[in-house]
Amino acid sequence: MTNEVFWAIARSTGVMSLLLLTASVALGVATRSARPLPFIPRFAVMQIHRSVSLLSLVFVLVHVGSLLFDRYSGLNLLDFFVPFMSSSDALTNGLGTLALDLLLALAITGILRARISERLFHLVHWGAYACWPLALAHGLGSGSDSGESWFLALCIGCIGVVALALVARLRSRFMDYSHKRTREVRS
Amino acid sequence: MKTALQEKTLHINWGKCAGRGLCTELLEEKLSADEWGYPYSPEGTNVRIPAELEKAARQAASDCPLRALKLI
Repeated sequence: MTNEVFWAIARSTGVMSLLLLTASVALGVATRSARPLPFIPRFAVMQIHRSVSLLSLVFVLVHVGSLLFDRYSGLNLLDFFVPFMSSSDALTNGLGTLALDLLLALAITGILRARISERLFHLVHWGAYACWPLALAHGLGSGSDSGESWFLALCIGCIGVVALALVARLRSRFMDYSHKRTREVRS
Repeated sequence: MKTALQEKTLHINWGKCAGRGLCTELLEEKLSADEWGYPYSPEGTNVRIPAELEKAARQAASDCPLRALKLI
């Protein structure tokens, strides 16, 4: 009985983590565009990005913490940090482990940003583009909700949001003022 | 040496600034966006910050995505 509680917590926090990571990626791209969002000024876009990202880390930590107490998951502490070692679902659990490792690196470099080099921060921050698909693949492959239609619909929604952000990111006029800045270079 | 009222200065490092525009929102009393979105002040690169704006200037410096601002 108590075991089911931990499993339920692991499932719900896992789903919440995916939603928050999706929002974090989209807000991160919005931050990079140097554009305000409707009703949200630039500095607030950045601050919301930071808060949502830290919140996603909290949910991920509760997610893995509850799995530690779930007797049937068969996961030990090492499995949360070293990928592809777990006794069951080694591949899909390993993807989640990789995503957690990346998320921890992102969080640590984010928190220590003022004390580390800008170069290192940006280098690690590119890892977010790997972290999100790993987390998504882990969600689609692991657990008991992976085949459920509501979960698939949620995943498709998340893919849509990140795909839109990526399309915006790759446009040549992605950044605010880019029109004026590039025109200035040509003339 | 103690300056009068310990007024601080916000230094803009143009080598780092990418014109992301956060500082012009956080410190609109002192900075405005120029034609290309970069922070502009009539004072130029070193902007004098009165005591009542010190908190806002500190936040602008810490929130700059390129860490191009320094409050000294």
